[in-house]
Amino acid sequence: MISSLRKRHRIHWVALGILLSVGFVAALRVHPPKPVQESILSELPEAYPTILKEVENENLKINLREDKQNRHQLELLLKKPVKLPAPLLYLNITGELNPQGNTLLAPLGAVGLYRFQIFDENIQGIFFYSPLNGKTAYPTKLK
Amino acid sequence: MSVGYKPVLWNRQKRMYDFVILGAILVYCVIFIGLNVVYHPEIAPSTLIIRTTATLAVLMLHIILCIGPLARIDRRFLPLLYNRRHLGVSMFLVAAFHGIFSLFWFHGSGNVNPLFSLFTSNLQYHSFVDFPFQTLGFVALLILFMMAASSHDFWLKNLDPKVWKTLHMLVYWAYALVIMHVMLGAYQMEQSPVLSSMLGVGLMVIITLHLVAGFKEGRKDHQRHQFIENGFVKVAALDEIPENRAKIVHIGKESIAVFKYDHKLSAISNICKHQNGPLGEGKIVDGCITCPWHGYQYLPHNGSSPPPFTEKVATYQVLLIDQVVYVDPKPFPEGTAVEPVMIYG
Repeated sequence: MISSLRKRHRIHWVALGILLSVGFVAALRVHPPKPVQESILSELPEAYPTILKEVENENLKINLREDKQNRHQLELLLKKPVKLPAPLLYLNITGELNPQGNTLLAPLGAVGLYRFQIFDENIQGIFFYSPLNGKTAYPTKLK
Repeated sequence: MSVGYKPVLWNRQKRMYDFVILGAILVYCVIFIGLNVVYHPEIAPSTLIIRTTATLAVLMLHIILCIGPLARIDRRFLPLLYNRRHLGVSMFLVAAFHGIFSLFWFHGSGNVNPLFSLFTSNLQYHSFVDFPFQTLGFVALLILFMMAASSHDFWLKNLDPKVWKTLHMLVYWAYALVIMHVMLGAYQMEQSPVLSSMLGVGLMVIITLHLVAGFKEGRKDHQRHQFIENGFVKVAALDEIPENRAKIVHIGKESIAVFKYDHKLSAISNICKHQNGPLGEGKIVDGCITCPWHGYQYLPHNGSSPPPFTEKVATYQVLLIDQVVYVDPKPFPEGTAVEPVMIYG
């Protein structure tokens, strides 16, 4: 290399040494805010203390609960996802597996634990219903 | 050096060198992919391709950037310098594969041109941490492309040395862009301490090597020389100059390479006519001083390229007194024949 070229190299590397070191350390210290996934479900209410009825099968478990003010609560533990498009959870009041006359509790189909305060009397059970294809799944009687 | 323009002047050494490069690339890919398949079986094939080519290109760039200063610090690394161009082009091909694959993987499924998408999908150019890191990689790849393309004999011959050298010094800035491309991209997504540690060590090594080599050579420009009568300057003891190699001295504005070969001593300008390459870092091949950068050749006794080539560099008078080599820093006109000094005993 000629003298002027060596000088250019030195200038480049002094500049790069400073800039790259600063950039590297800055990138180590400054992290972008992580995207936070907000829960799309409301917080789970406390379970009522007394279990009146209990049903369990391979797909789900249901507890009918009661508190001291005689209010009722349906506790559902869904073990397997509901294989229906856009499934809706219904309380079975009429004994028929269709929406008419029965009470819609929530649109859900994912595995998890859910609790709902219920006001209906004569609950016979639950079932899932898809308004898209009219099919039902996991019909379960509360004995 | 060739009469016609040929992309690569193949010889046995270059074939071996390229074979080693290809083998090393394949071994790296097998090891990297194998380790990922074992320890991260959930990794998608596309991610694996992007990561393999990215890490390989960054590793190759580090090796390439180490070669220059290492050769200036210790002559034993000089052989690595001779075929650095092939390593550079290989690195560009790996980087290009990474860039093009990523471009079409991340930007190719929309209804706009992938390049347009690359520059417009993230417009946070005002933010450091959210800076569109992909554009940094794109600009770095563009520089590497220009370098790889200008490695061709046509450009070597026709680009002015100043333009060519300026273009090739952009590799330093391409390196800076690559470092920030990784730190603002892959690192921010995973914040892997392994990634940042390895990159940090690489960065430290590169900066240190270049600064050490730069300041070591800078001292040569300011060193004091021992003059004797009639203007001759002491170069070195005879046994300090290896056979078929040179000792370089910088005297005023002159940079002189004194070569020892076939029991003779000759001195020519250290600066190649082609792209200002350091002739004194080359060696004598087939009786000709061979520039380590692009293989331009000169006869040691007259500084002229062998026919049909016409390049000429200045020559200098050499003296040998009591096993000490001296040179007169006054140059003869380029191509002037000077009787070599014979070494007896």
